[in-house]
Amino acid sequence: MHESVLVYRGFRFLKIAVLLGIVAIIAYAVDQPLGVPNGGTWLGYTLGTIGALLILWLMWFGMRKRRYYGGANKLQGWLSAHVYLGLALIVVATLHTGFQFGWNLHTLAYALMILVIVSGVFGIYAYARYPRLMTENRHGKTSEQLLRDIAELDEEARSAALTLGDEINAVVLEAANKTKIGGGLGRMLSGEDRNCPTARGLVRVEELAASASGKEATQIRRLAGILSRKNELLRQARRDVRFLALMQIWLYIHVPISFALLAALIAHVIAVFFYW
Amino acid sequence: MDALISQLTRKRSGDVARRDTEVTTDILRIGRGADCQVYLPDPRVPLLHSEIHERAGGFYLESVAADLEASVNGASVSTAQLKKGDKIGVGPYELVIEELGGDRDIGITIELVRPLGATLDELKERSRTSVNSVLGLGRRGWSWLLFIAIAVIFLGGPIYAFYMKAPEQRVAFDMVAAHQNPKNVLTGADSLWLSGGMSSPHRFFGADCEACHQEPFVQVQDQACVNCHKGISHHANPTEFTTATFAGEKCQSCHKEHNGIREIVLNDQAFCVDCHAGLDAQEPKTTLLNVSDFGNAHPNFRPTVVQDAEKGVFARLRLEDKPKEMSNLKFPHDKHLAEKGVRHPVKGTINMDCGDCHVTEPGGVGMKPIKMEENCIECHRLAFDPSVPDRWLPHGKPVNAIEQIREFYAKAALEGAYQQENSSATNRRRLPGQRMTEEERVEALEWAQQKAETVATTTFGKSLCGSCHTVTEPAPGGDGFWQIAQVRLADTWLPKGTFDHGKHRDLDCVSCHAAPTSKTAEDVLLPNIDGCQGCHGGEKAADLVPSTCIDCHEFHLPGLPELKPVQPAKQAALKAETGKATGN
Repeated sequence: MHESVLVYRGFRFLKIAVLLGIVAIIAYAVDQPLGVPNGGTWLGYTLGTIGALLILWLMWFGMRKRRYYGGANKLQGWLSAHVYLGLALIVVATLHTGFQFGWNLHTLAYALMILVIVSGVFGIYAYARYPRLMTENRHGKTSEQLLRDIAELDEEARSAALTLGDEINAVVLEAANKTKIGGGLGRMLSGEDRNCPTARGLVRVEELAASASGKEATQIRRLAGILSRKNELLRQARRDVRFLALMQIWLYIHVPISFALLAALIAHVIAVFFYW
Repeated sequence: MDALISQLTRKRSGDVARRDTEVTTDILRIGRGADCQVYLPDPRVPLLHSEIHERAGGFYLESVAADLEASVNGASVSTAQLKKGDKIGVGPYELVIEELGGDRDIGITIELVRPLGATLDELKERSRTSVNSVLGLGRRGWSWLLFIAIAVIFLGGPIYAFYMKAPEQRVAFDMVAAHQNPKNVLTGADSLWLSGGMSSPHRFFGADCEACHQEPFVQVQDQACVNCHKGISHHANPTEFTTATFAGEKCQSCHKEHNGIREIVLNDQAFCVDCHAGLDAQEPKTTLLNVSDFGNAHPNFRPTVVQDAEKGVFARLRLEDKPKEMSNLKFPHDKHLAEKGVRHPVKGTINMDCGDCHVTEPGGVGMKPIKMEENCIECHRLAFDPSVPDRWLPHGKPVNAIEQIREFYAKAALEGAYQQENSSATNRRRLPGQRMTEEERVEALEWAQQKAETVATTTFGKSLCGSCHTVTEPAPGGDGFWQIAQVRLADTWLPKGTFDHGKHRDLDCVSCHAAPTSKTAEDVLLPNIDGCQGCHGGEKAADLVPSTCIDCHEFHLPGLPELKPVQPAKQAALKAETGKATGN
């Protein structure tokens, strides 16, 4: 994400969102409903309607962004509005609740909304931070190139090990055959593999290098050098996967939970008027 | 032995390339090591895997180490005699004995049958680098799944639960049955929609949503409330005051449910003040004064006091005009509460306090009415003759009292047991068995009558009745009799409000009621409203006790006509429509 989305047209949508939030807060402070503030007062209905319309409009962005006919600039404006009005929704919806929460559908809808917004905030953060980190981490390579280099080092290591002992060969073979990048969600997001066969192999090879002597020791040290380079590339590749996963994962919360929110919102509105 | 070792390489076209090497050696070594004649350059093969020996005309395959078994024709062996055509598996290689004991001693072909795969492809295959690849359904799939799940559980569930109930169950809520079988723990899908806790009085039937919500998408109707709250009364008489009908308002305009255990009776000042701040403009006939806040815009008290105790006439008067309670009673609070004490007939001088006479009613809100028989008689004994101090006249029945006095002295005279220095000779003690003459009898009765009149005059006039009551002496010579003026006290001086004495029990009575300086029962011992305002402020008071209208005043006033539920607008409109059509 370019920063221009946040500063779009001199923070136009930030200003609109702040204004909306302030108006809502003032209305809430000034309003003297009979009884306790809640979603069923006139201000409650008003804030609820604004909130529901905002949610529908914010979700429409998911449809809108697939169309490019308006041009990138127009889409940027949409995204800018999406971000700021989405944040303003926290104020509007929280005041709509009148701070009444419980174990029910209504609070579920609120909780889902907060989850969507928080994941969206993470998305802003991810898109602002990770692309740069990814570029730095790759050192000008593509992720495909990283993998190719790793594979080449594997082959180099294997041939370097052929004349060496069986144990070393087994270690090198395992390092080549079992090492993987990414894997489960946890591995992707952590960006590391604590049980990486290559890292383990490197340790063992270094041990063996220490106990060897002469020409063999030189050969083993050469092998260790290869594995060490591979290890470094693996770390890069895994960080790459991590950044990519972080940039993807929030959308797996943001989008499906926003649909869960849509269902909860519909149910909430129907429930309120069903049992009016 | 002479050996021919042939390296086979299968090409993509299916052809097999063959590279032969001839060796002469004693032992044929198989392995990855450079010194092996059967050289198998693959990391999966040990440096030295096994050896082929020639002995006693046969060729034997022998594993070098116990844990390095070779497979011959699929069976794992550590030693085996070789035959022509045997297939030996060493790691990814397959060796075939092509010749044995022919031109050469042995001919072996080597073929790498399980090559190491393309390293890059395998690495890619093992690695999963995209979130999309691990989250199965994809964003669209998850979106649908969650949308449908939430809709089914949180929308379908409660609606299903509602329609599962029979319609009659929805309209005829039975409070008694609900009491006997309380369902205060919400079960099932209904609870998912509960927007907030029930108020405490309604909590016991909180699981019966349909007790109030009888029709979907229709606001709770007043009828649902009146089903239980029968006979709830108006706020003002609707025939006198047009605004008292509260047209367009429903029970739930004021009584908001689902806000937790908070009372369902909303106590907002605004409820009352929206009319009462300018009530005179809305209801010109009203005698009520405008009020908008207890702290600074509440009129002073206007006690309802007795004007004519005999006829029962009361009047509501301004406290600052020093109204008098014309109760026909004499009671000086100052004498009773005097610091030097008061005389008790038995205990001598005692100090009294308010609580000796004034006690709260059960519940602690109001004060019990003062009664002679309960509160006064301990000191104000109705004894009329010092010789019989325990013989008291009945209170409240002057005719009986007079009769009792007369009978007492008549009896005393006739029995002759009365001893008094200046009494007639007849009344002096007679000897037992000695009968009274007719003359003596007349004299005795005359004495008794005189005595009774004297005692009655003292009793009624001054010593007993007259000390508290207004007593009228009979006209001399007439047949009239002592008259005691009817006593009437106001039950409460402020009938339109309730003062909770129990809640103020920690205060001294005299901090509000100026009894110690009150010399007469006519004093209305109420404090001015600023006495209350010293502690109580309006609803929004920050430095005083915030107090709203219904802390003292009721909305549904007892004694007013019953509130009838307003018909639902739809029905009322329909009725009006049909009325017009028929010309009525």
